[in-house]
Amino acid sequence: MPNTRAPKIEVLELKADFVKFVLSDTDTSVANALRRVMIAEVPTMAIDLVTITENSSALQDEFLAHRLGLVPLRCEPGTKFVYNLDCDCEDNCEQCSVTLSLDVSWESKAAGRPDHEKDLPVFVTSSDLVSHDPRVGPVHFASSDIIDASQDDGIMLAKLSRGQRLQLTAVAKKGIAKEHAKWSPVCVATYQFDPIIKVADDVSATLTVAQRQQVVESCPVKVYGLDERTNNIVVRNRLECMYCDECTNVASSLKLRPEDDAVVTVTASQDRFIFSVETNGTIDADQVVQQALEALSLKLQTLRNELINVKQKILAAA
Amino acid sequence: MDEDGGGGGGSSGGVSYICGDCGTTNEIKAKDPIQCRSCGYRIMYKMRTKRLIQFEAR
Repeated sequence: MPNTRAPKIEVLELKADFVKFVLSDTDTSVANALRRVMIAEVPTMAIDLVTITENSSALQDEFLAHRLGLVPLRCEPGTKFVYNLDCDCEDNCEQCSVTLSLDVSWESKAAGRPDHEKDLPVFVTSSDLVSHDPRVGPVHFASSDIIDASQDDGIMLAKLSRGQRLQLTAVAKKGIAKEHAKWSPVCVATYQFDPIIKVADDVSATLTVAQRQQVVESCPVKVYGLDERTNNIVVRNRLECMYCDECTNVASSLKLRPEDDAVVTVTASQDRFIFSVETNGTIDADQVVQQALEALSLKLQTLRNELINVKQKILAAA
Repeated sequence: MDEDGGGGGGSSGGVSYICGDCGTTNEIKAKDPIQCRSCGYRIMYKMRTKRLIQFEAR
């Protein structure tokens, strides 16, 4: 049966680390599949193997290794890696992994400090991780043009006091968040149903201005407003609606008889979904959506091929 | 006696331990009394290995 639906995407807002778009002409199953693929099946790079040479810090090796794994690593657009398991190499190579090294001692960082700060501990952050591949490295949350003015010193990994040292090499590998959440490219990937808010003008006409004002003010996110000229209820910020039902509760309390229509009704659209996707900086937001759609269509392709195989086997057996 | 790469003591077959009280390094051989040579404390800690150790970051 041919697909009679042609789902559409309309981008509302696009930044490097955030995208907001409307997915329409499809149903919840597709929207939810897309959300789940964005969270768990878009590949990124993350530290997976940590070799510790020296650790005289207060933190255990295991603790540090886990912490390093959670550091998001920025991957320049267009950088392609293969999965370590699929790679032809023995252990790891530059096709499937990136080596980062870290060597910080209290003495190396505390040198040149003013006297009153002399004995304070030094901070080991993700900025101390030195990547051996210029395309991959710890993320910076400030854009490159304001990096000097920004307070972004990287993600805190450990603190060292006098005499302590941390020296290690870490191997970052490609992976997906289905295996471990550290590979997830997104912090927020949610969708909401597009709200359909209807104001019944004939019912509104039976209400006093004070009652209309009551409906307008019931909304905590100011979805409604009163038209200055006609004093009618109008919808001002439809997309702010969070289905709290405050307005419909007030509206039903204003009914004269229980069988009357309410002045406002809020329903959720079943085929329009507003997605908000925020990345953790590893890849750009538009890339997350595109790669998720590719991953989703690859899954469907696999399913289709398997179904064809099954059908052929049954036909051959008959 | 130093097969697991532990204390890494001197050449004489002893293993280095750190005193739990005063923190001095003591080299203790087999059958030596377990006691710090400088303060007499009897709780000793093994030194961290000098080998590389690998961890899965997960």
